[in-house]
Amino acid sequence: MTPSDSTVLHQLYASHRGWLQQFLRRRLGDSADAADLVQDTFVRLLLRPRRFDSHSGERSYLATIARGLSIDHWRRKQLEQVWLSALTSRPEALQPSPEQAALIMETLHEVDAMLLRLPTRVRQAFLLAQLDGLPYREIAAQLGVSERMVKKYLAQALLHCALLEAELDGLLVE
Amino acid sequence: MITPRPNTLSHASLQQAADWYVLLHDERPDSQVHQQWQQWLEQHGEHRDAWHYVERVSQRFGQLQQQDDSQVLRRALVQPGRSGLTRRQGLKSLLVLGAGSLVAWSAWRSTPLPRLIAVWTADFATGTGEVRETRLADGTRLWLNAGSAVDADFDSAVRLLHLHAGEVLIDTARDTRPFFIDNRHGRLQALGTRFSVRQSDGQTGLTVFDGTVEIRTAGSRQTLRIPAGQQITFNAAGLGAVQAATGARESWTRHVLAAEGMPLGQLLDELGAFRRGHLGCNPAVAGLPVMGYFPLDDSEQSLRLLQAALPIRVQRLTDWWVSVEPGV
Repeated sequence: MTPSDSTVLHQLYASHRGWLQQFLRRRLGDSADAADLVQDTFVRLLLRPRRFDSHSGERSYLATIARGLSIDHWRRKQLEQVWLSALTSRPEALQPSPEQAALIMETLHEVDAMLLRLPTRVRQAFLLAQLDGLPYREIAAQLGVSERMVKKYLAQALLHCALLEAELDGLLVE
Repeated sequence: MITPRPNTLSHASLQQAADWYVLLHDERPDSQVHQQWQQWLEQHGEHRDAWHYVERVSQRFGQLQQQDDSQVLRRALVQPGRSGLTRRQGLKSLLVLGAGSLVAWSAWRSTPLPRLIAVWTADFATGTGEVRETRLADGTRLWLNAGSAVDADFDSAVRLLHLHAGEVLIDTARDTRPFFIDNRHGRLQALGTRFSVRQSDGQTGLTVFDGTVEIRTAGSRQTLRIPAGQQITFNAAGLGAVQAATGARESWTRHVLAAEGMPLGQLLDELGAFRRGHLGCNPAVAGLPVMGYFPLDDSEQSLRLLQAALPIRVQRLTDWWVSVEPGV
């Protein structure tokens, strides 16, 4: 590593540490874990230095690394297993192509990482709406809460996920 | 047409976008809703940006919805999330890939970046479980405990060491130039001597076995001379109490930890620098005093010895996630 790389890195660290810490705290729900991952994010950059042409480009890149780091290895395994075992019970004609499978797996991880820090009920309500397409009234019946509550849960989950999506693009949400 | 993306987005706009989305997807939407939403959307460029992100969330799920296994997927996704433990396991494996033979995990884990870079490029550094003896240009003998990093900065006027992480034992050679050790908590001047310096997060421990060492704290600028047979902890803000030197601060150079009433928590901490993975201690037993000699290179044996001698139980979740809990 050249001295100028190290200067660049110091500057990056100084200007991005703050929001990155927030970004990760939202994902992980824990400040200490977030601080650890901020560190790891910069370590990644230290191992593979690169130049950026804009501030939001820097943010977007750091957010992408941080997101990758915050996706739990073991949770990943667990998810993959569940999905693959579901696949084996399908008739061969319905098996997805390897490309499709990879794409779905990626989406699954992304969605999982976005939802992990939401309260269980909120997560359940959101998945029942988004994956199963159930109407609010049925979700309310399944969870034993009012329809108004279901709407509140859904808005909360959407906001949370949209925030993370925006941050992935390097946007600062204020 | 490509419009430049804004760099910020207000939380309030995202919140509104989420609320609109929920209203629009009601199976019995209010007849006015669609029109009102259109108005909101046209009101402000930021509203359209916010809507874009809410839509994107929905699209992600759309990709999964096309699978006819939504039930299975949902069950997988609803399963309770990771614990801190499993996340750290994931990180651990990542680190093994990423950082290879650098200083010990525990030592640099909580290190601010500037110091991390210093450790990376240090003249002398040891990894997990590694104790190293070396001789400096002036003949001074230097031992590095596991997970330590030191820079040597010698010129015609002074001999200066920078301790970035971990612990060193120093046996200074005779020389007309003064011998200093700097770290973030202060500066030590060796006055013909054998001593150890151990740096942890909040403080530095100095133990003098031979001769005298003078401390000058980095912030409060207090000075104190510590004679042979004494030890003290200090940080930038001040000095702790002077106590009798403990053999443990020298015995590690022989790959043995000599505990003379050392709290269990501290002992495990030191042992941890000699093994891969996590070695934790339940706070309920962290204060138990420990007497005895523990082989650093065989931490498994050390754990067996501890378990035999104390009311504790060594709990293994995996080979590299071990914690010491109160015994039953």
